[in-house]
Amino acid sequence: MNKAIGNKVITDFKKENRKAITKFVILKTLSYIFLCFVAVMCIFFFYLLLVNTTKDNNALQGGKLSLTLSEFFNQNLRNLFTKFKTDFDALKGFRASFVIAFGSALLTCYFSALTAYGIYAYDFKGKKLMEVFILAIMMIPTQLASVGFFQLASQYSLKNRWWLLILPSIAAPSIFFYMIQYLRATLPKDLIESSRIDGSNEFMTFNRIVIPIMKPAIAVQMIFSFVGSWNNLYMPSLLLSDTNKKTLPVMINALQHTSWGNIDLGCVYMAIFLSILPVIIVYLFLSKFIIKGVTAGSIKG
Amino acid sequence: MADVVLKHVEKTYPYVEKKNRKYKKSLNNKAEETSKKSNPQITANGVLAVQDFNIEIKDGEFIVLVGPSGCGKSTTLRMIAGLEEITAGELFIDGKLCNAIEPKDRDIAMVFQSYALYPHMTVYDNIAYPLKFVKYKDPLPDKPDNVRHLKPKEIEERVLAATKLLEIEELLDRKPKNLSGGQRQRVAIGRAIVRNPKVLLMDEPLSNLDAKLRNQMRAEIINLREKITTTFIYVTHDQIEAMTLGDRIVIMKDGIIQQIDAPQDVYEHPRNLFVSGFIGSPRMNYFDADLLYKDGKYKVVLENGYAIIPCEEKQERLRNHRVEAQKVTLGVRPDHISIAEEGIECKVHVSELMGASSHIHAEIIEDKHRSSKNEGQKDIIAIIQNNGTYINYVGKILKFGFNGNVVHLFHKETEKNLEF
Repeated sequence: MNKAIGNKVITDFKKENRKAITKFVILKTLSYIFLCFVAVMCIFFFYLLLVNTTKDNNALQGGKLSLTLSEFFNQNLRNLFTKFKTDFDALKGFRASFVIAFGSALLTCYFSALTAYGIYAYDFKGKKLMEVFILAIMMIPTQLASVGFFQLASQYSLKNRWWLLILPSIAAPSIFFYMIQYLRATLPKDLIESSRIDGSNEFMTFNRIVIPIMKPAIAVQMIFSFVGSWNNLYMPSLLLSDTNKKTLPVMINALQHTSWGNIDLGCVYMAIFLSILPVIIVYLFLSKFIIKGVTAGSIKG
Repeated sequence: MADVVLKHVEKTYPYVEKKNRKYKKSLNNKAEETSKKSNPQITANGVLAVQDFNIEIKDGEFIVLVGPSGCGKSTTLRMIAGLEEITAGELFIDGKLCNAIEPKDRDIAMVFQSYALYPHMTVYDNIAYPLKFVKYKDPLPDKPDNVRHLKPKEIEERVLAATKLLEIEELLDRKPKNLSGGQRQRVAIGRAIVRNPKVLLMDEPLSNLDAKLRNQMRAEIINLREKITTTFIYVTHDQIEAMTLGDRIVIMKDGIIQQIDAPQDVYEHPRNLFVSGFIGSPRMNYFDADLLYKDGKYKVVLENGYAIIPCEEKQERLRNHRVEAQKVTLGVRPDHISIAEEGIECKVHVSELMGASSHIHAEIIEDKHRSSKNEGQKDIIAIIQNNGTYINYVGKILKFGFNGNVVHLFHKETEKNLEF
């Protein structure tokens, strides 16, 4: 009798178990299908770019979408460096893009961290107002501010200067916001006070204690602002007209707008491909670091 | 080493102003309400965290600030450190007025409750950090006023000396997150003493440790004190730490100093009811009584007629102050209560064996003796020495008598000790 009840319990349990397992498998499969779809959506455009670099101008002008690789990669590369030498000087472009992107990323992060620290660590009148003001700047689109900035630059004949693109990036309200949130989560005020008592002055406290603690936040924001600045077309195209000073996106833009008979879309795609290579490399090598930086501060360690 | 003098030091936190009318109204109501309750800390200008703080701390002295939370002890310490502005009064460190001097220039060190170790630095770097800013005079033949920083080798020597003193030499390469609470505390103390500061400030340094470790570290601080000569100012809410560590104890309540004295004096001669209740564990027992004066002799009579005659020393102090016969609050420490033939009749309901002695909680049978000062404490607590044999008194009715040499008499209204 007891044995029979026991067997029933076991079969019931097995049934339940089987149900749970099927449910789990179905859910897992569905979520994997969804994630695969999203991943394909993300990678598709890069793949399309790669495919287009291997096609010649005629095929591209034809307007038919094809996803198979062709054999014009080397030819496009050669053409880009010979035929379009005047418009696209890769070395100079890389140099200009790198100096501007790295310079502005560095300054943006350092000064955003400094501002965030100032507002976090000190008590002064109007502190709240200042924070709100900085955040309110986020609402103003860059394009709006650029009109006045462009006028100023042309009036004082300051065009074609790299620092003109680096310096204004210091004011970055969104990065400031990220930094202050990070500080609130990770930096106890005791540390600042302790450093003050240990004999360090305010600036040294920031450089020696606060900056190292903020390293993950600074790293991740540096990557983001580097990429943002690297891909930026709008401001550089307004301010840089000298071919020797142009950044990569400006050069690619010039390639696209050469006279009709002269245009070679294969070369344009090749130039785009070359320009995003450093960014891809940065993400590949630093992805772990980026994820760590984005989630850091969420759990106090 | 340096002496520290505080003269009429005050700290007021102003109210945060809001333009909201409703808020102002509620604030006014609040101020009225609290003034009715006569909280001395809430004034029209703001919250008075510390009031009229006066003390002269001698060179090399160990001072403990103690009091319940919110009494202003940490604020006082932070004012000495320079982390908090002084609203009024003067602070002198080593004879120099320090009100407007920045913390970094005061030559002090501080141990925080949270340890405040720099998380990205190793133990070595943490301890060496303050030394990087130390400047000292090194006269050269051509430059008599030459001032220089310490050389790396000198820094290393001093760090090693400090770590040896605290027995943390093997931890030098570790990061703070890989240390236990006790080890972190030692590193924090190491960082504070490595510079030989004039004054060493400690803000509840042991309160994050577990009970056993706390006892151990307390003993180590006593040891440390013998090895290094500096002025210590220590903040705690733990009366045992205060009694065992301090040369003198400063007891505070609501931002006001209640008493500054050596630990034994605080225990034996509390200046007021608050001090008598705050220091000593278990807490002092209080009774309503009459103080009578007849033929040059004082006598304390409880309402059941039980009379206690204070010792001659107390009699004289009372006479010197011309204390009149009046209703008083009688305070008796649990260790000064004994089972006697005459006294207050109580029924024992809890008896805790503590080893050599037992703590007896007994309910007073006649309710009228109980003082309103007992704040909800219904029982008399007595410590009875077992003398080798533990007797369980639970359920029994005993008479407790008080030793006249060690009773304390407090004024009914002012709550001051009548002897002082």
